[in-house]
Amino acid sequence: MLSYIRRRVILGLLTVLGVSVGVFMMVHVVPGDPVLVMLFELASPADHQALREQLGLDKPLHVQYWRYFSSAVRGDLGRSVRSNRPVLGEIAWRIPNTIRLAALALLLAVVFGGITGIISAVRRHTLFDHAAMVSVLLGLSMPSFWLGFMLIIIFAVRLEWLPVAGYEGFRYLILPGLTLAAAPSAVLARLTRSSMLEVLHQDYVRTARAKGLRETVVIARHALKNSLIPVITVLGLQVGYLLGGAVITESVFAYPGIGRLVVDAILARDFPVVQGTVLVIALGFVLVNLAVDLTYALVDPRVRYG
Amino acid sequence: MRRTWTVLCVVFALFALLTSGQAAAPAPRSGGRVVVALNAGFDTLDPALAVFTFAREIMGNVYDPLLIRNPQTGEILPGLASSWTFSPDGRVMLLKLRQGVIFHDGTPLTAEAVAFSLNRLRDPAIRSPFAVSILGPVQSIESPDPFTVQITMSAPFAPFLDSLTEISLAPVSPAAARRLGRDFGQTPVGTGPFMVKEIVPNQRVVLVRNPNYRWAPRFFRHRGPAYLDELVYTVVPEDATRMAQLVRGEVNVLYNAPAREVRRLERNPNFRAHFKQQSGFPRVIILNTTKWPFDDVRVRVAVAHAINKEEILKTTYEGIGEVAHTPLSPATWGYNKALEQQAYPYNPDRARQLLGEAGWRAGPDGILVKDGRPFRVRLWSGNVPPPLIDAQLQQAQLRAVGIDAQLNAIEQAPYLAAIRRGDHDLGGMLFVSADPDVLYIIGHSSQITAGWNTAFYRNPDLDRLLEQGRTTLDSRARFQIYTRIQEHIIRNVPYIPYYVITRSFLTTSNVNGYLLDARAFELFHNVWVTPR
Repeated sequence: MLSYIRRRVILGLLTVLGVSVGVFMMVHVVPGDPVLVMLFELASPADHQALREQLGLDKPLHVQYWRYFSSAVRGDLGRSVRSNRPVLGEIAWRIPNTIRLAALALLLAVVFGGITGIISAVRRHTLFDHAAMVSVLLGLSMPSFWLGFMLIIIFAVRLEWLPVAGYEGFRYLILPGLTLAAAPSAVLARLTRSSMLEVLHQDYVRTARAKGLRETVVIARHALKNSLIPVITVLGLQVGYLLGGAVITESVFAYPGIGRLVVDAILARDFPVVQGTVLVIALGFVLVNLAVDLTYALVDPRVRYG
Repeated sequence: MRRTWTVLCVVFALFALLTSGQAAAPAPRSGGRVVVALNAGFDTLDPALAVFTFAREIMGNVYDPLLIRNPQTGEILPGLASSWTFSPDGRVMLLKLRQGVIFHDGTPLTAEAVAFSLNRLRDPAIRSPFAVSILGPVQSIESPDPFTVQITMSAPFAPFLDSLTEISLAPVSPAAARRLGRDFGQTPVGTGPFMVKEIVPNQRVVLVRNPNYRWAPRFFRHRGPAYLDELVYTVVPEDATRMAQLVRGEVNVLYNAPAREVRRLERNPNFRAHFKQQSGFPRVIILNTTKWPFDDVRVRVAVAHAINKEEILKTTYEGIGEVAHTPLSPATWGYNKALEQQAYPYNPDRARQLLGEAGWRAGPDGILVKDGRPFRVRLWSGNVPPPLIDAQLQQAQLRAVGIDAQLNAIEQAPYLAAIRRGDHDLGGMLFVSADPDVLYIIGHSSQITAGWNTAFYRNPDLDRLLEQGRTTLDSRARFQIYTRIQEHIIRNVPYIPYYVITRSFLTTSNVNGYLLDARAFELFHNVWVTPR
């Protein structure tokens, strides 16, 4: 197992390294002079030269990359072109907000999606199953901004049960959390259902039933663990969606997370912020999937001894 | 008995009728909180560096300008400076400061502080974008005595009085600025009616009352500290979310409310709509005079005849605002109503006729052709409404006279860079300003690429008039010069003005004393709230 973990960690680091190269190249791949693109308003030739020097754009490419990489490793991701604040600072205080929202959405997705999927599989072809699958279709098809606005109109404006936007306490997380959870719970419901169905038809499950075990024990002890493997994989990928999809949800609910930060920065061509945020999101993504891979080690005995 | 009853009923009915709807006018009261929702973020709250409109809005409550324009009449009045004089040659200005003004950190406002703040804009380490544009030919700024500021210029500069009303030139605390350097914008210290309690970048600013504030400009009825305990600015980019927050009461003021929503809520007693005409260079169509075929003035005149400004006013702006015929908005000093007659009116037939005279013939698909080249041009635009909708309407109107304008809509930031570089054939822009010198920035040949002469228009006669307008201090003479400048621009059509911007604001009905300054920024010193 140790070699498995070691392999995974090395692959993770290589991925982050690759992303850093891609992120670094972003500035140079965009057509035109990157400084001109970044400093659009009211900048003088002296400003252009100053930014050019600050970013080291007059040096050869590999020197620039080394500068970028060595600073990044030390935590210096440059300064925002707009506000002149350190990029890492801008990202750092927003990350907990996005994690909070993504975690809530993930929890809702796992609970609603997982339970729906399990029940649908066990009660296959019943009314519950059909209703659940129709809801799944809706959950996947609804654009998140539309769902978000609908929830605002119903629960915040009409019923006044919850606040509209921003973040000043747990109540502010509920509507954006529901919005963000819609698509992942649909995916998880479907996946859990089909995975569960496949497992329920295996011989060892029939054996367990034949041994006289109660149905709930059959499902919980024998079937569930094995059906979880593909679900966990997808869950890891869903986190990517949550971090990315949070962008739209965060805009609709004016929620102070990194999704909004990166959208604002892209529209304003604030390259240091875009680069820093993409790097951090990639790092987070790699860490989450590393955790997923390690979870396999716990759940799948074939991996543990492989 | 019956008669008595009837009389009594009538009297009672009359009494009820006369007193119904007569709510007692609420008296100002101290306390409370107002939340303002902005639709975009701000860069910094350092006056020397901030270029975003919303930064300037917030700074108007944290700092005081040296001079201030009367919000109703536009007249320039004393602010932190109580009086001013010019030397006979117009090159040296003396400002006398009010006494007893202190910054939020307790340090006093002196001439040294003002000189420091103004010189800060010229400091190369600060890299202020206003160093050249607003300060103009300023050579030196000194403080000969504690309450007198002496400004020396290389030549008389008429727009300078207007520059002193800009918040970018507002005094900042030298102690704080020296200590914080470029980070001053994160913990700003000014003299204004509100102090900064908390800044969450691009998200929220929380301001609290400055208890020592006693130096509000004279035309304000209320002279002491602000009524509000707290003033909060929050950034909510989505229109629908902002509206939901207003309806729900989570915010009290919508800055820049969408026209559609204003129309919807205008008559609702729970809300109030406020309007303010913006001064300066109105919304115009830019014609790149160096690009074929707009180098031919006949073609430019024809395009002017092809634009239906009323349709744009009705469609994009729901009738809020008015059509622009001259290069200055009516709220700007220098605007001359008589010039409206000289603008080329909407007349598509005349447009086609003029193009025909210039050698254009209709091709098989309706697009005009000359010397084998079809009249196909690129119309650039920012990619959000309202300018995006304007561009689409203009595209259709041009098509109707045989011009194929292909729309190229991109994000605001690169769009501004592109029109300054001259990538466009046609474009759109506006320029907010309280002084007619804005026409120098958009029309003088030295402002091509360096400034905002996005029509790339070069004309020595116009250049000369614009230079005269800057250096003439006598109001009557200056007004005549700007009339001639506007006539030139109307006649030669490097730009086609089409819409005078009127900004709309929505407030909940419990917000009283709401005031918009001469530049349509909100002033909250005079605002109080009544409980709902």
